[in-house]
This record gives sequence, C-alpha cells and structure tokens, in this order.
Amino acid sequence: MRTETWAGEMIKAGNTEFVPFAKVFQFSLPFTKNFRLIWNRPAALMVYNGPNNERYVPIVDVTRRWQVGILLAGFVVSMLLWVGLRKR
Amino acid sequence: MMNEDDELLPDDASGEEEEEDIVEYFDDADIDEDFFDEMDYVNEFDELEDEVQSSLEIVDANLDKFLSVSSVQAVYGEPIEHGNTVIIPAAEVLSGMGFGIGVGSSSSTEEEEEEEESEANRGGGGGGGGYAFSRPVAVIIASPEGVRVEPVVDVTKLALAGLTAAGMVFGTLYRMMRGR
Repeated sequence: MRTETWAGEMIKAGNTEFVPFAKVFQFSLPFTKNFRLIWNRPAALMVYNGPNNERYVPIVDVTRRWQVGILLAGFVVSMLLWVGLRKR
Repeated sequence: MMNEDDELLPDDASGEEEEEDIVEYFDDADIDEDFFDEMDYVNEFDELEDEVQSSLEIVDANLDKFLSVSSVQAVYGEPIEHGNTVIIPAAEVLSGMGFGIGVGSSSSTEEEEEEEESEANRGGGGGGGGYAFSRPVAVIIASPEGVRVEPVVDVTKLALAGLTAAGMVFGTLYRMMRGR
C-alpha cells in the first residue's frame, strides 16, 4: 500500500502562477502481483500571486461529501427509528 | 587457443560419443517403461507450467498498460486557454485489476491415479477482470483576477444516495410496523 502527494508542473495565467497537487493511493496484495488498485484524486492548489504571497486552495469533492452525508443521515435516522419504536 | 568448454571435455570424447554412451547406459539399465511414462508426464507438466508462466508475463505487461491509463497525470486535464483565462478540469481516477491462473491434475482416488496419464485429467485455466473510471471533481479557473475552484456536482449520484437513504428509513419503518 502506498500513499503520496504528487505535485504537478507550475501553470501560469497572467500574473498568477499555481501548482496543482494530487493524492495518490496504490494498493496491491503483498503475497501476489495479481491484483492492483490505483486511486488518484485532486487535492489542492498552491497559488503564487507574487513574492511572499502564497495561498493554499483545497479542492473539495462536493459530490462525495454530500453522498457520504446523505447515506450516513439515512443510516442514523434508521437506527434512531429502530431504537425509538422498539421501546414502545 | 583453447576455450573453457574444450578444457572441460576429455581429449578423446566428442558430443556424439557421449550421446551413444548415455543411450547404451539406458539400454543396459533395468528400467521399466513406467519410469519413462512418468518422465513424460513430468515433462508435459513442466511444459504446461512454462506456458502458464509466459501467459502470466503477458498478463502482467497488459496490467501495467491498463493501469498506466489511470496515472496521476490524468487527474488534471490539459489547460484550456480562453483569452486571459485558463481552465483546467480536475477529476478523480480509479482503476483496479486482478487475475489468476492455475494448473493442476486430478488424482483424488486410486482409479483416477491410474487414469492420470491421460491428458483429460490435466489442465489449466485462468481469468481476470478490471475496472476503471474517472469522475470530474472540480474545474480550476485561473484569470488575471485570481484563481478559483468551481466544484462539479453530480446530481445523479446524489439522487441515488437520497433514494438509498430513503430506502433504509422506510425499510426500517416497514419492518417495525410489521413486527407489531
């Protein structure tokens, strides 16, 4: 299993320069080479607006956050209903 | 000048003579035919294993090719320039692949052991599968005013998550009501 942060090449737009970062996750079974999984996703940008002016801009996966939130809410509500109705 | 191989051979021995000696040895030796049959079986099995090994190498090379598609460079797309603005799409990339190959023979009972010599009881096989997908996560917009990140919201995925959550809630309610 390997996780690392990858930095891309600097991109220039006008006076602004920025470097994109990505999270890398690689998994393979320790006893065999027959299975491999790779998951790469965008992580953040480091924006340079001139000397001594750096800004870290995270890239948030809004879909994933809402998806997990909705599923968790459904699970929690189900559990609460189950516990609440069982006591009656 | 002599090379190393020449030095190892006796002066009066040639390759043909050695071969004749080996044939004579086996002709004279009291070895029954079963021994040669077993040797044939072992050799066939070795050949099968060699074939499997070469297949594994081919699959491994293809696995590398397949996984190179989802390299980290694929996360950020090519910058699209529009006037003073640069647009870069960002996506998550996921891929997984697995395969397996095996060889074997059946010899679980004595009868089967007798039949083992037939090729019908030996064989090999393999299988594998893979999955790769990419999903847009955000768009980076860089203009002279600054850099901003616009998220990409997948409404279909959220609708499916909502339906699943509703299913959990109504399923629990239904079970509790029916139990009374």
